[in-house]
Amino acid sequence: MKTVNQSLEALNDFLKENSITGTLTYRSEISHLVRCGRSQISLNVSEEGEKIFIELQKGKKKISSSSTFSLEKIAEIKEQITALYEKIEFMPEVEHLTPLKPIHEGDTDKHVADKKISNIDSNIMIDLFKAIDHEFTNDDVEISGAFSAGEYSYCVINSLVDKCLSYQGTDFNIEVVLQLLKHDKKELRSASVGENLSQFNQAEIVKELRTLFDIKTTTTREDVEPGEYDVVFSAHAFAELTNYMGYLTFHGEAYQYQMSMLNKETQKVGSKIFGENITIVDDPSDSDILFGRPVGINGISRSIFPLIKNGVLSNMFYSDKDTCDRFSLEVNNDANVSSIKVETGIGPSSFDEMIKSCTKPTIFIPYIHYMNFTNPAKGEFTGTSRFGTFLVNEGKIQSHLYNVRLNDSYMDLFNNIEWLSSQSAHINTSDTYGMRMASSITCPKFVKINKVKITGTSAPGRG
Amino acid sequence: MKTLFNSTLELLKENGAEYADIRFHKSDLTESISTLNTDINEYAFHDRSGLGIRVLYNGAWGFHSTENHSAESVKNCAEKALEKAKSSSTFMKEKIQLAPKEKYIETYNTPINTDPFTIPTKEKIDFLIELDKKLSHERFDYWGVNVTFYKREIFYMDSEGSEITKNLLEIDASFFASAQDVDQQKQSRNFILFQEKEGTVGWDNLLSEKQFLQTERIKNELLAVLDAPECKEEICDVILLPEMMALQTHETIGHALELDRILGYELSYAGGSHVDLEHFNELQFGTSKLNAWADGTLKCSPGSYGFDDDGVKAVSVQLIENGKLRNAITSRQMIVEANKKANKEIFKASGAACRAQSYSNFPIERMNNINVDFGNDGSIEELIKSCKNGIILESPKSWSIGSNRENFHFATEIGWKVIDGKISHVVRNPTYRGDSLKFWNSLERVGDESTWQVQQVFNCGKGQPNQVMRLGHGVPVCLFKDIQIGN
Repeated sequence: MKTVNQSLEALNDFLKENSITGTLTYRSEISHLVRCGRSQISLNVSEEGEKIFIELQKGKKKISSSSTFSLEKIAEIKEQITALYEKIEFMPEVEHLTPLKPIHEGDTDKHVADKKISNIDSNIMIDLFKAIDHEFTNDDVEISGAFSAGEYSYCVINSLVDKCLSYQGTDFNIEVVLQLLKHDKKELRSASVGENLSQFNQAEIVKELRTLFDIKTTTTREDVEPGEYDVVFSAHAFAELTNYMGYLTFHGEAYQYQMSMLNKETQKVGSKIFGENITIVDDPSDSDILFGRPVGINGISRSIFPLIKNGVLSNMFYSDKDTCDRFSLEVNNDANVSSIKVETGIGPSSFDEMIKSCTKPTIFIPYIHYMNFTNPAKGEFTGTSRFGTFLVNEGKIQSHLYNVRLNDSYMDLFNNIEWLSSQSAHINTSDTYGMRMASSITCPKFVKINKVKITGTSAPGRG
Repeated sequence: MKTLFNSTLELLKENGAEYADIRFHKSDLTESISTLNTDINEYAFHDRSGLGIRVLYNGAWGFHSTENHSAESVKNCAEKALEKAKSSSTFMKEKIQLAPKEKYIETYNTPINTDPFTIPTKEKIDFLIELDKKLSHERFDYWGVNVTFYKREIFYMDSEGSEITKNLLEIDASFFASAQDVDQQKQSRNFILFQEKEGTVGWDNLLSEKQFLQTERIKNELLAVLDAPECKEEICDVILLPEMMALQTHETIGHALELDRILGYELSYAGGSHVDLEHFNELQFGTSKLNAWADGTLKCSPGSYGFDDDGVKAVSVQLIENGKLRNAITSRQMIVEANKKANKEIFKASGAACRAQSYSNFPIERMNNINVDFGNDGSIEELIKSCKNGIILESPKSWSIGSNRENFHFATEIGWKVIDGKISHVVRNPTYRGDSLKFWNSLERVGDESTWQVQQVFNCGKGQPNQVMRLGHGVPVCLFKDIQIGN
């Protein structure tokens, strides 16, 4: 990163020499991905990319651009800056635009890149799928999945400071799905995420798949009627619910534009919006989370940031200067690099304990597929369960259900939590759109929620 | 670069590659302009360039990409791709084979009248700000226009002798207005630029009242939604206007018929398909009124690209004929594999639907233009007239689909209740859902040519790493019988 920092600082000096006000952001990635399909390797790819993002401001005018970056292209980038600055004259003035502010200055650079991930040998990734194939040789399963690993970095500077802020990190995320060809094409899944290769545990993945396989092959298919059910969500399913709920609750920009599920007139920071057993925090210094990034891509310094404290809304992320200018607010964080944690409770933490605890009819949902908002203003959503939905009763798994469709609201769900596990898990929440950027949510291993609305199932004719 | 690429492909062959190709994005430009409440919200210009090399070795794929165009970097990129293919080949149960294709040395250009990149920036901004102003209303809190111009020059070369240059241009344009409804909930109306059957792709589309300048209609519709009653839960007929027909076609025909998905390659991420290989030429996918195509030859659409990233020339493939399932969205690799698995020849040739988002991505089966033929059940007015109790739905608000595309739940921005052949009133927050096959088998009326238009899609996601694809859907207005709404 040192060379990149120096180059960006040289470009920043060029801005200053030419009395140009602006921000320069560098982003890079090295990504490797091995994909398995039909029990063999279907993709083995890698990519490298470096980009520079230029944002210029002149009085009440602004303009931006991006291009591929390399250290050899510094002269070319200077020409781009000059051309862009000339073009800013054509931009109309934006009344609410406030002057650029300095980015954070100080020794907050943090680099946690594991070079074993950056330069991973694809044979390590392929070996995982070989091991799974070996384990299930006689079980008539189709193996699919992806093992993604890589390095990413960002570096930001603006014309009001002299030094860059930067971050470099690595991550891997793995998901493996088995389709049981002799068992009604039931599916099961194991997934894991980490920031250094020592957190990758091949044996544990194979063991989890075997456990799930044994459960799936000894339970019969059943269907449930639509209605309200008590549901235990796995960490994966609950992280997905939290992630989507977060879009509609924690993003101050959405709140200001009245696109969140909170009513601007009646629900503000300080309002109790969820049940008392819910506490959510973003703390980059927490050793219990993954990807703690002390600086934002927007150049802000990050520290502990409570979001929900015992059901009360404590903060919202304001990451975007333009929105803040429009509503006379200050940028207070960068949601793009947050790693939120849902605090644990006192509920069961192992799968066996969780099953034993369900003495009344309860549905277990390990994963939510294709969630989407049906009415964001009310926090209403839909999505289906996937990879093994169980009906649990009298402390035992009673049957393997068809995937169920949920139609409910985050407001209801986060107000109806019966218990949260006493132990937590890290769940990958990064999408792979655009440049690599690791993301995860740390949340309880299981969460039980009462009165969840099930409106249909994937049983033939029940959509 | 051509000489360098040629020698690189030769080197790969000398080192044991059965097949290799290079996709070079010589230039890849994006210009985005957005307005918000009559201010410029964003002006951004993005410029990228790079290349990706795909190698087949011992029946296995390897791929690497780089943004450095030096001879040394290209050689290094090829070596890495070959090394990956060699690693992959250690865990292959059936070696990958590619279906035959013709060799092409050709150029494809998107048909355009006026290249938007030739219009002065100020002229573009002034036009969009003027359009933005037309969207304002005292009841609206936000409104704006978003336009993105894409221009790419791509050179493709493969070890089978093809050399293809593509000059592609697309315009993704939309506008919106939003406001609080009677219950203080956010409501929006969006309008997305579509294509007429005989239009062109270019700046001129934005100037057309038929295509883009529909601000008054959208404003009036939003105003109607704000005070409208909630959509009630019932089973009734559903008339889908083009934007919803495009979504319905996309999610429950398009994705369900991607051959890699049918074979199980997307299982761990996007999901599978309720369609199996034995369903081809057997399954009644819809009523006899349903005729659907994967048409790469449509004149103007983001789903028309001349040649796919296998170097196969665009064709039009009938997916569903009078309701019967006939074909899939296919590539060279998948048709060989599917025929082998089915133990018979279901697929005769690649449908030229293998595409990558950019040079840094590996090409996979992607929709091109998944179209539904227009029918002879009349105009929109005649379809409404034929409906006793129903609802007209338009503009996707949200969508969620089962992992095998077997069922769906969609919400739309606006609905018009139809009673006894007449529009009765607008409804708020409409939704509908169903089983995919049951739904297409309830297709009762298909609108005529006057209802058919090409909807552009710029946000289709698939694959790992996720690739966002541009495509189109030529669709008519259709009426479906007895559908669950408002739940």
